Amino acid sequence: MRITVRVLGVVVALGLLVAAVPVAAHHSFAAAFDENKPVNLQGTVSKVELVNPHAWIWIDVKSNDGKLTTWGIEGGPPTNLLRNGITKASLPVGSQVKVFAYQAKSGEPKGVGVFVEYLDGRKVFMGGSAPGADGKPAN
Amino acid sequence: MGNRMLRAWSAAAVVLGVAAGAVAVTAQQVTAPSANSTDAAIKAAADAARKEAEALKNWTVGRTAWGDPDLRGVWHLATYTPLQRPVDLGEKAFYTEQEAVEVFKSRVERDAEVDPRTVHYDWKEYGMDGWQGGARPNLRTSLIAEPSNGRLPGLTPEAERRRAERAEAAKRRDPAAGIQTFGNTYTRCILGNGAIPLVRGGNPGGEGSAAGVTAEAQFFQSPGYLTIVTQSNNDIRIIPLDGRPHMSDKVRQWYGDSRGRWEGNTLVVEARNFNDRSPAQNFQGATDGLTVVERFTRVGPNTMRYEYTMTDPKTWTQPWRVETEMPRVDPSVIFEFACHESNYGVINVVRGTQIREREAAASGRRPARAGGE
Repeated sequence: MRITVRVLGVVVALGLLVAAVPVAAHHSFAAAFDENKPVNLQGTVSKVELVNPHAWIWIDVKSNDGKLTTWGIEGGPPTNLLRNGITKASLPVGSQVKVFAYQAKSGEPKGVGVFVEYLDGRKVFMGGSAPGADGKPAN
Repeated sequence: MGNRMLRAWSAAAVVLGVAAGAVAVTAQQVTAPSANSTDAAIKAAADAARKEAEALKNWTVGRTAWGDPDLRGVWHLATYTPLQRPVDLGEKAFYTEQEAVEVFKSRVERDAEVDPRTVHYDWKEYGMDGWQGGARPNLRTSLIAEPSNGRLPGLTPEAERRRAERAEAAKRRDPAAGIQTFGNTYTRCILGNGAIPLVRGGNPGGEGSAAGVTAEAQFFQSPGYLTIVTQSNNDIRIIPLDGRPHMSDKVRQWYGDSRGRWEGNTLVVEARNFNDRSPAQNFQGATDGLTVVERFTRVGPNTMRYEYTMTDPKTWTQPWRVETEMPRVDPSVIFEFACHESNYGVINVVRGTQIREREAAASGRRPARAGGE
């Protein structure tokens, strides 16, 4: 997977995922989200919902033509984040973030967020702390 | 059984892990490593392990105000130890310490291998890998202690027939079709993962999701009762300890009907009267004929020994028994499990499924299979 497109707003990169093999998930990511619609988003956090079984992060994204769209991003559950010292304060409303996600199959502005990072490249949550992983997407 | 050996080994494993410079052995009490420092995580785990080993020297279980052994706290259900022993290990029930560290490391690495190209979030990004959640290394090669080969016993002819029918039905049915996308009790918000038995084994075998996600249970005690609340689905088991008989076997419940009694410092809980969950199943394909006997023994400030025996004459030719440990979790928080209220996933999955069905119909294809676990 090549995440080479880094522009403001929404870039839908089609057809980059020829080799993608979905893993078994605990609910139907494959049904809800589209493996052919990876998106790079950049925007301002407007709401963070830290609830089981999935956290949701909402960000306002300005597209190239200036239009503002609110995107909903699904993430993992909050319990492990909390245990590792990460709370809502780690991602305050108003933060500028970049998100790599897969868009909803419905075409709505929602996605499953593979990772979330600040503009300087730091991961918002855990990425980079796993043994043998640098927290960066594979090239 | 060598529980003392296991406890003594925990600290050694951490030291070995540090020496190897590779394994994040999150042992003993689950600690809070800084988010981006594996070294800090290892050091914190090592410190906690030493503290726990020291604390165990003259440790006796505390008592509640009314005199019962104190089992209260939030306990971690994740493990990298598989339910069944790899066949090539035969009767080898325990690894050496070095082998155990190597196996733990390989499972940690496998856990971290969530392919960022998949339609899924990155597990480690959200702290969901088992090691990030506090899964401990284990000298045991499998959770199953009996039969002695660490494997599930043989199926009865009736269970063989059920399995064949189920496999046949699965071929005919497409899980991406309509409401069948929510074809199990978890995605329908009926049952959480692992309320009974609490610990079910980690990878390998495609059960990675058992390792670290919402894998906590809080134990409350009050005079005459133990209450277990699981993180997953916020399921609740209220277990009377006052000697009352089981309910009529006509009364069937998702978690069965549990009754507990003390044997010394061990709480023994027997659960029966399970539902037939068809088309979903009880654990490992058990039927409504299942009986689960669990044994809870607090063996240290941060360690609960957990054993259970599964008996179901409709499924297995003999009972089988598991021995494992649950580490205490701190901070200890059970979050709301907003399975319905904030589960945008239901809408997203249904809409996505409808679109996939239309696409499939237009092209004359069957819809692509979607995950349903």
